[in-house]
Amino acid sequence: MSVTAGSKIKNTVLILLLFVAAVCSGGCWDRREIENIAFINAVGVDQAGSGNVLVTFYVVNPDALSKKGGGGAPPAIVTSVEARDVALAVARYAELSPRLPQFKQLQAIIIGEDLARQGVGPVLDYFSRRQEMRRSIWVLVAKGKAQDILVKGQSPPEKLASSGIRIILERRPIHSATRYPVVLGDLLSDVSRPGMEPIASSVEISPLREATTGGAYGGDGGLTAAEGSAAEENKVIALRGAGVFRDEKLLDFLGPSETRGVLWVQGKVNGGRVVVPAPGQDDWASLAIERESTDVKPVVEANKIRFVVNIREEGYVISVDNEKIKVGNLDTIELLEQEKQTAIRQEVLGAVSKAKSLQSDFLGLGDRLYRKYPGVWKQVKDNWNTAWLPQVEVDVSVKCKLRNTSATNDPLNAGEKG
Amino acid sequence: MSLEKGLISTRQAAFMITNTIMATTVLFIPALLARGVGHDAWITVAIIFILVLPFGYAVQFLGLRFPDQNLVEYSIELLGPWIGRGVALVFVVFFLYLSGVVVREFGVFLVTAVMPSTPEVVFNTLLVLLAAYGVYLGLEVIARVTELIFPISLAAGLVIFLMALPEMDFYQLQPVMAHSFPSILRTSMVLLAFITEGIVALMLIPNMNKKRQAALWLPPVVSLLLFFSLIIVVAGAIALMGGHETARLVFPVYEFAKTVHLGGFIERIESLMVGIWVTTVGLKLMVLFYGTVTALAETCNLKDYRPLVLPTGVLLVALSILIFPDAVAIRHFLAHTWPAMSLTVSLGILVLLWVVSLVRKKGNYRQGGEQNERDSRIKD
Amino acid sequence: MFQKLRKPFKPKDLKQRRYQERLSMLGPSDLMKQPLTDDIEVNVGRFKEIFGNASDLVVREFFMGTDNDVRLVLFHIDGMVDKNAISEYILNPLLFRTFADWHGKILPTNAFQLIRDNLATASDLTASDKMDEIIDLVLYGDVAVFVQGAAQVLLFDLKEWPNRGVQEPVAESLVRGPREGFTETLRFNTSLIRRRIRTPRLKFDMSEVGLHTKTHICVTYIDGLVNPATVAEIKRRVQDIEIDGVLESGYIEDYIKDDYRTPFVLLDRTERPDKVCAALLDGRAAIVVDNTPFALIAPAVFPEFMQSTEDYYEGTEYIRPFRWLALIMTLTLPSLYVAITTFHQEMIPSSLALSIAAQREGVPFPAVVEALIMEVIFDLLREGGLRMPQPLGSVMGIVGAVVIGQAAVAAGIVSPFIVIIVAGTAISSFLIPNYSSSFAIRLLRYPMLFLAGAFGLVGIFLGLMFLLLHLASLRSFGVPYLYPLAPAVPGEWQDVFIRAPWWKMVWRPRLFRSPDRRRQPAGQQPAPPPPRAPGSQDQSPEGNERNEP
Repeated sequence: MSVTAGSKIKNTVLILLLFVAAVCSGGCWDRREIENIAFINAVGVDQAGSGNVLVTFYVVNPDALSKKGGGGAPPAIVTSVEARDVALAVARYAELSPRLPQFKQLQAIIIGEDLARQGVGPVLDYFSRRQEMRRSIWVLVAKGKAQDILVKGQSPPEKLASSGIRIILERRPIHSATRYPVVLGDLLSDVSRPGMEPIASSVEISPLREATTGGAYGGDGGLTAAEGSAAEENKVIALRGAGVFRDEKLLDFLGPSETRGVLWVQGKVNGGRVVVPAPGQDDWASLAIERESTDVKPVVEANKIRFVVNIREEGYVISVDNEKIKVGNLDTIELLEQEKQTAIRQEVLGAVSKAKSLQSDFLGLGDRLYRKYPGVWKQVKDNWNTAWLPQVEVDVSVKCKLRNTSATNDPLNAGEKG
Repeated sequence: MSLEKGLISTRQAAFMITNTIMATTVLFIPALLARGVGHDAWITVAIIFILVLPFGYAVQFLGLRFPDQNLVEYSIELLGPWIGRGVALVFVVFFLYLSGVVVREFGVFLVTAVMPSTPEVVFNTLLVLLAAYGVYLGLEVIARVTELIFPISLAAGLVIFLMALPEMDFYQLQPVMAHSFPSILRTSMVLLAFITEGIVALMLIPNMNKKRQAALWLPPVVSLLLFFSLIIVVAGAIALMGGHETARLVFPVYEFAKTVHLGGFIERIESLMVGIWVTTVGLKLMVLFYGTVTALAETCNLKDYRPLVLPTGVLLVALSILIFPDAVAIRHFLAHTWPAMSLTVSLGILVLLWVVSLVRKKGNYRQGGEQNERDSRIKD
Repeated sequence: MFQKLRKPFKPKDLKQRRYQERLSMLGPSDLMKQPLTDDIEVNVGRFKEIFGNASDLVVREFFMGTDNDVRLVLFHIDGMVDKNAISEYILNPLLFRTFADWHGKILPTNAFQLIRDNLATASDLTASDKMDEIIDLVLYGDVAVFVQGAAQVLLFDLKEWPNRGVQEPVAESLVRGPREGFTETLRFNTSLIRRRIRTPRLKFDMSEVGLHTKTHICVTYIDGLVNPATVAEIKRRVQDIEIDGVLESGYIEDYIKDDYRTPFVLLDRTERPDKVCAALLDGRAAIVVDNTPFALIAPAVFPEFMQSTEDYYEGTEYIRPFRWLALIMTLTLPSLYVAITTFHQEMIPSSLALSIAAQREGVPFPAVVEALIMEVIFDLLREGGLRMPQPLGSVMGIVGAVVIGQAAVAAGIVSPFIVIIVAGTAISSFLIPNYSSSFAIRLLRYPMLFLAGAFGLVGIFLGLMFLLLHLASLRSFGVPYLYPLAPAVPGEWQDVFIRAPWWKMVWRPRLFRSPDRRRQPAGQQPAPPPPRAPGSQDQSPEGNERNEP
């Protein structure tokens, strides 16, 4: 008959008990206690023999970072596993690790050079399919083996190499802009985007001295650390330059100034330094880049495709080598600006010529063509990289402005003393 | 007369209808549309906006012709007891089926996105439990909670969009109309199918307070809300990831939330988004569930729909599991089968009832009548 | 042959019948129902028989009249009456004064009428001819005087009993505001209200509830401000109560509230007369119950429980958002901790995640159990602290809990992080002004914890939805419980999330359906005086030297 008050209460209690039992009996399938997780902060993928991949897991050791312990324990545990593909490697690793590996705190994916040359497709597919991944994970191409970077590389004073990488990539490059930070999302989009080839930041380990020479800084020499310290041995992680692909295969690496050339075309430069020869002198002046905006217009003519690149840039003077360069002078400023324009133009043209020689449109010129003239794109897209790209003309015009000369006007000793 | 003695205000009704249409649409639409027309998907939204308005008015005015009568009641009145009941049953099955699809969709989402190891049936059951509780408590309660939650969820969505703005490159929306107009039109039918889920509004109209006064502004407001949310979602997804990626991903909007990266601290908040989604989809399910049981109860001349809630709930859980064998089938269904099904049922029945009511000259098509009596009760 | 079919009785009828039987068994109702006679012997005899041998019933016989031919018997309950007043207002005038002025004029025939109209000097004097009414009044502290030759009895109100006096209410003390609280005597409480609302439209409708206690219940409202339907409903519910005794307003509350299946309070309770008066001015009704300082206010909606009376006196306009935040925190903080660390570790910034992981090394329990243990310990200590002697109590509660938490950490049972979480929960629960609502919220923490432990953030949001649905389905005397949030009336949110200045509160809350909705004319915000016109004669400190000739 009807449910009396007594049995209603009994039913409710029973349901509640069922619920509590279900919850507490550990039957909650996705529950992971936080201390049972191995946080993989960085992962490296290399080519191994006979079609296998070598996956290096960079797992943080919480004990080393806790306030109480620490001391002797290593900050991270690096393990390399070889398997047929990344998924199997993860499974193998989970077999021997008492903590369950999880990619939830993953910060960087490093792809080794040889694997990249073979094609990053399978690796990217794994990483994009997992829901734990996010599109904001940094992707880097290693010069050499990714395993080396994770095993030997250090980024003092950060204890964790992965943190070091992340911090450097996230930082707005005030001092130099010679790397091309790419996140997983961008890479995936680039692979499928018409008229754009993927490009990713490249990373290597090197002695400190080497890591800080050459390229856009001009000149020679670099940092030296004390004898016998980690930085002096082959261990600092350097993020410079970029690796360019065609479809999914790595072609070559760009040097620092070529990388910045790509950044100029993409309009992504937001800091850095340019060293220009001073007007009429043998010495140099260092100029800073503050911000810039780029405009790329495709122009289609009879049988030719041209791109007009317009760059507007703003910056200021950092330092001058010679006291004879009278920075307080309007003429000097104008001359410096012109030198800067030339320098930037060089960088851009360098990148363009590299794209032409490699036959890979990592500048995104084809993309611009597609957006503006889809009909034309349809005709040229099939052999864009091989036939058309080497033939395009790129007109670069740069306009620089030096806003100020920092805190001082003329350099020291500018006619004060005898 | 109506089974439900509750009254809902027009604002509550507007929120409920908008939420019902929007909750699962934003989840699936960007991928489905991008699959058809790539980065021109946002154009389909603009086209649909033009079509939604007449649909909304048609639904509204059909309801107004029979202001105090339930859908089932006036079907019977217009088409006779047997055909009328048959039409009503079609609606019941339609709503039930739609509820099952919604439960399954969202269960799949929760499993793939948030908790991969949990069996789907768990989420399905929880969702149905929540919806059953809401339906059991009555339409007024559902309306009040929607009034509370819906603006919050809209605001949260907007905030996430704004936070993701720096990462977006609207250049990726170009070139406009790269795809042929017929294919755009064809793809927009998919969106239209989702929008015509709003036919459930016919079940809500008899309970609305001051429906005559609201008749003019209700459809445009709902359409505008829908338009803005969908445009933001679709265009934003494309701007963020490009047309191809959007089509490739199963849940592009989830990626949206994943890209939020503010001040190095507010990041990885996608699980919060999921939580808010749970609330809105739960509310949508409540409305659909409510439509089902009310129509069923009315068809069978029951005095109260409450005894039907639990059995229908159990049925719903089972249905949600049995409908599709796997997630790929869901996508296929939504892209190909669902438009035909939804458009036929909702538009078909809408047109049928309209035509018959015009031909047989039934219903108030002028002001006055017992309409005023109901409006004088103070809304709450 | 055919058995007459008896009408099947319903269980409700049976209960009713049994109750009536018990009623009739309980007292000498026959005696109480018989009307009084002229014969004083009979009346007094009945009276004494009804009372049996009550040890605190005091009898005083005395005589009036020239030849002592008018006999009077005086009854009162010892301890409830002011004995001096008896002498002064009854015995003195009747025994002495009559001697001289009324000599010879007092006869058994007119004694009663003379005493009632001319002789007794008490100010509160009534007459009654119903025995049950007389018994009621004597039991409440009246003095009954039986007069020979009259079928009526004189009743003097000379009550005096030990009273706590008006003190600051313990549970609702404020920094700023009146420090008067209700006492246990109904009349004093009503006088406290009457002093604040001095309009003849303030009504006190009395009734009695409770078979043995016959407790006086007073339904208070301002006629013309309150919705008549609400008052009628309250009165109906109060009168429908059939109970053997009412000792506190809580008993009444259990009977008249709208829905018992919820931990949330549907009627407000308070010890403060100013709060009651504010409610009356809002268009609500209050129920004052004798023998308890706690008055009830109906209807009551949820956002009220986030308000404190002090908000209206001291200008703490922006503390209300904090209270709402505290509410959410109390409910969800432990659940959030459990959900995020067990299911959604990606939401934690890396360094914090590692720190928590390191802290939880060696803790034997999963996060859910850890949270549960600490929450239970805190609750136990807190409730225990309430019962301890005053100065120790509150200190013991929280500090002790933190100390025990530290000890538990040192013992390796829980991690330090959970102690912070639980302490945060406890502190935020203090912001909820109303103790009973905070109890409801604290109670709901536990199901939330289970849901979070099972399903993570999804579980928390599910729990919140269930809670919202439940709250939205409650009504308090016809007003939806979440008003003005649920049937959203944005115009009234100014009193929910912040406390708008008084000049902004122009309208009474709409859903209380008051006949007179306007509180005050609009536009009374303070502003500095307008600038002076030149050449006018103002006394300004700077003086008008320039304008003076």
